[in-house]
Amino acid sequence: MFKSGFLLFLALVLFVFIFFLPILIGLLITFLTSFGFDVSEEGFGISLSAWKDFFIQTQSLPAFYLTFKTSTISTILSIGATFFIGAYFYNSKLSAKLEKNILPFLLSIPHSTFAIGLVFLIAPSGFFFRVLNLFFNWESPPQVVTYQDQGGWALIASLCIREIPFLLFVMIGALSQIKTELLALTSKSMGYSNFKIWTKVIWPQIYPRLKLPIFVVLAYSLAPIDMSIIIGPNNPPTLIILILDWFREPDLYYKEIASCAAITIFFLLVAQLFIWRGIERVFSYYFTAIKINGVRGKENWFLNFATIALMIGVFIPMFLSFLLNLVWSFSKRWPFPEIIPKNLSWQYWEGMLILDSTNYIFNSLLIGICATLMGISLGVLFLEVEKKFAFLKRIFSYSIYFPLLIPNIIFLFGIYLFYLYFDLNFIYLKIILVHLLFVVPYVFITLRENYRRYDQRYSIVGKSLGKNSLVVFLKIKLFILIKPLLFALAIGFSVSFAEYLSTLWIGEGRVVTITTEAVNLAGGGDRNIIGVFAFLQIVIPLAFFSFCIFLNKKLGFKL
Amino acid sequence: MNFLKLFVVVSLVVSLLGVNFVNSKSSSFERIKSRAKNQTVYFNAWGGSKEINDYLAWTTREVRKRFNFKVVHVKINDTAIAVNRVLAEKQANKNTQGSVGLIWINGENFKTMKDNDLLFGPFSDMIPNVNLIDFSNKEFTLVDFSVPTDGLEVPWGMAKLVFFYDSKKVSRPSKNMQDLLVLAKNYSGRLTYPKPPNFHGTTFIKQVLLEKVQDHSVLQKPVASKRQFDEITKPLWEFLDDLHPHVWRNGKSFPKSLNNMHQMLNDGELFFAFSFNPNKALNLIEKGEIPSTVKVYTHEQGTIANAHFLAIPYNSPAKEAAMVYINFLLSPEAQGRKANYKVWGDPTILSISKLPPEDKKYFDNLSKSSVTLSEEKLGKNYLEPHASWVKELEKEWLARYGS
Amino acid sequence: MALLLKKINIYNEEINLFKDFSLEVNHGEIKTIMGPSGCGKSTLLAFICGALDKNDFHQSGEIYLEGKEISNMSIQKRKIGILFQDDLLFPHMNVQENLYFALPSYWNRAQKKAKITSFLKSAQLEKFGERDITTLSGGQKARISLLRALLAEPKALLLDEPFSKLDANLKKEIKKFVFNLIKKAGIPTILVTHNKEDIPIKNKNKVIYLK
Repeated sequence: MFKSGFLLFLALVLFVFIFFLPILIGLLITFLTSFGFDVSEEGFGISLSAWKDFFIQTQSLPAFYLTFKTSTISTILSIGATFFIGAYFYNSKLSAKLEKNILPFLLSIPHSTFAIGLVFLIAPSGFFFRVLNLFFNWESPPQVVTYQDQGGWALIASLCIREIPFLLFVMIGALSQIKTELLALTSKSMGYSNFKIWTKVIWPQIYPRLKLPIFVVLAYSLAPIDMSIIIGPNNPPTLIILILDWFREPDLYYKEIASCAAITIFFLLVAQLFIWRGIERVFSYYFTAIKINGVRGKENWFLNFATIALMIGVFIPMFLSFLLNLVWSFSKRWPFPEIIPKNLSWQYWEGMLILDSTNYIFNSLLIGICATLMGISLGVLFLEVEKKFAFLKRIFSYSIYFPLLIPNIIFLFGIYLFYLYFDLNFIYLKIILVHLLFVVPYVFITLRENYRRYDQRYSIVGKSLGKNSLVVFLKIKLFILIKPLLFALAIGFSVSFAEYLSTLWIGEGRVVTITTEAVNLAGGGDRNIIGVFAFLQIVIPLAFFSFCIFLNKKLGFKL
Repeated sequence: MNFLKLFVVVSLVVSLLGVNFVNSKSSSFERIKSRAKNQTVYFNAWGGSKEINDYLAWTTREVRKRFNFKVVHVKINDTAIAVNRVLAEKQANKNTQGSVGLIWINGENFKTMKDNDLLFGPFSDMIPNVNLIDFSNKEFTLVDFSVPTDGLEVPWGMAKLVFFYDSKKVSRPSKNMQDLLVLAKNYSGRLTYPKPPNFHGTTFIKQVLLEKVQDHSVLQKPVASKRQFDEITKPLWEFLDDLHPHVWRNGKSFPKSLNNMHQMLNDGELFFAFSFNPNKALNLIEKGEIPSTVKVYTHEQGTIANAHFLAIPYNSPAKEAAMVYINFLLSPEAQGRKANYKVWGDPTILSISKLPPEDKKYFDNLSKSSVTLSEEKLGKNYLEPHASWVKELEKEWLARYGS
Repeated sequence: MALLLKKINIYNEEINLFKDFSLEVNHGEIKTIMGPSGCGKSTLLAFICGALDKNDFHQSGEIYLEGKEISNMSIQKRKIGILFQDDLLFPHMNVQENLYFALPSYWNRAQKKAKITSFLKSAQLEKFGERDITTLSGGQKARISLLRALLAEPKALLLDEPFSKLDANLKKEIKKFVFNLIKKAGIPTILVTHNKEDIPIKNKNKVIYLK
């Protein structure tokens, strides 16, 4: 087919121009803006005034503290919970069920949908208190602070609930890559308890594979946009909310202050990574000691129960938040203390159908499908050349994940200003290109391990039978990898589908998608319509997912 | 107050001159109409309300049918983003094919656009239906947060602060802010306001300030000094210090927006709320989004009123179509539909009494419900303070209660 | 000589696998290469068929197949068949489709069909054409895998531990099947194994031991 030199060239060019440069330029512009640089004006004088003003804003320091607190605690709790839940099921059939049925569904619920549902679940007038009310019979909802609390604990909890399924999903993937069953059996025969096997044998092996996802969780937790808006503290708020507030200020100078806050988040991330490395070192020292101390341990039933409770505590709120959204979309009015709504109505769904809703759906599908197909092609191309040129492996291992490891507001801000300056039209193309920054890493993550597990000998056999590389690639490799490819397709689509800020900013508000509309309406507070959109937000990616599964079944090899 | 009256009169004269100008040039509007054909107007307007979105969808369908051009409602969360976009476009020399064709605007955003020469116009005298606007009784249609509109924006609708209370849970409405404090103590934790700098939160603060300050003319001028600001706003902060221990979450945190408050009113978490739209309560009751026992009232001395406007950015690629669209939005038909609480419920800025009978009919079905207040019952109008006060108020509020 | 290896050198920074290694294989002859794991048996086969990655090993030497030098040809052009210990039948194709894959594309449908039918018949697998790969037994897969390799009409055959995954009973049967077919086709063959039992009985003298 093509000479590998050409492929390398193509991959490098695409990587640099589609992937690397936008992020670099985005970061750079954000960074320069915080020092008073204005893209559109000629000349450039360094000024520290924005930084000074950033620090004297009364909310900056408390917001800094809150951001650090919520992200650190939520990440540590998520990892801890994942560790204990993993200890419980690593050697059972439960993990397969989780991986196949439960987790993909939970992961497909967009952050905003989840947050909206969760608020209704835990608010003083919400579902949980309505159930309690059956016993207490309050006149009005109790005056307790259950969300948007000043300590940010509601945000921490919801981040945990959102991130634990993600980490579990990655962990199950990692478990399937080592010989978990055999290792467990061998250790068991030496008298080790399940939990001790987990801590001494299994976890140390899968931890290196979890590092990257953990950093993704950490980076996300520093600037979770939708969740902070809906459930996070607001007096004082976290940094991301301050950025969005300042972005909205009519006075353009506030953009410079906002970029200072964005850069601050960046430094916060770097600091946290260093702290993490430190903790890791201490732990690994400790782990080495306990790994070889020979303690067998006993089965601990309390621990098992606690873990089951933890799992329920994570999964049930997610399911309920989805269900409650759905119920809201059909209810006419649903006041405290009704547990189920008295009046049901189709009116919000009808309204949805009459409205020019096709527009949202069309945009979401168009952008999602284009971004996904391009993302898959790029991902496969990168994986192919990475296989041939070892030096790329190191480059890709780190840089492909940049968009996930840096809170995206930091570079989106710069990309937005960049596009504005260069007056590039082709609005859809711009959005798709920016979506690619998020689609490619996820596609890459999903495909990489499977791609590496692909038995090269299939291709050798194919070629030895006299077929050229292109035929072998298209007719054998792609088909043998069809499952992970279709899975990556579904993941890529749902990533693009759920993109809010990038679609809004780069699309200049002109391109509306289901997600921009849903978050937009979430600001309006109309739970019924939010319910409809939240439902669509889940159903469309799920439909796409099912479509991929259907394709997987149908796509036989035809002569 | 003398200054203000003079100002209003002068503005009126200016606008009347404009009217004559229009009459002599009614043919020029025909020319605008013909040029508007096949243009596309990107109308940047807040998109967080289904009613408003539906109403705008109706208007876009109508102008498409009648005048053969396209209006796309760009649903934005925050007008400032659109303003900033125009500003950035100007700095990037994107002077003809701007992304914003028409913008729904008022207050600080208008000031920013005006100060930075981002607006097309003055053009209000080119719009025939501007003649129908009730400038004399609604003086807030000529000044936007004490900034003269100068024909760079055209009023589209009006807002007036009204309070809600749930009559099932609260025995009586408040007469004024001092009285509201009494009620807050009686119904502890059931009253609050959105966190400034949220627009409605700041409006609540301004209402307190206006009730506490005798001479409003000071507030129409820019803040003179920090000392003056501290002196004048002292009663405001004293009042808030008294009030906060008795509001929702003891004043430690505040709701994000008015919509959240309406939701909490619906949920029974709050007994009080407010709105900038007198017809909003009725509309919300109809939709089942607040209890049917909610009643609307205003404070005795008056409440803040303002207008919201339509403006055309200097680099709008569809200025003619934008003007024809504005003219349509100001027509009795469109205004009447907008004022209908079942559609949107945004009060008209037209002078209904001056309309010919065939146009009055559009306003016939305005609600006579007990939930809405008649023009007289809405009481007096307070003018918005100068924008510089708003900024300082927000800053001071954040410093005092924001962390 | 049907297959000739001349002065083969394969090495990298870590290990020196072959130095001036030469080998001849005649038509229908099965040369066996034995040695412990890690001695480079499989690497040699990869080198012969052209699948050895130049990034992994420095490689030099000449390979002649029926007098023609093929050292610089691509895998596709060498016409060397290869069989591994795993059958490596393509899981997304059924038995027939796997076999069709091996045939040259310019044959017409009838030709292809006739050929495949006769091949399946010769292996007593004529009823298995439509079967899914996953439903086959280990022995059946091994046989079809060899059929597939032979359908491409290779001029040489490389067997990389082809019997190591089969159980004892089956092994005997498959070995007989494989060796008979190779003999009938008269193809020069190299067999790589670590198990003495795998060596064809008549070829005991044709074993090369590597260290």
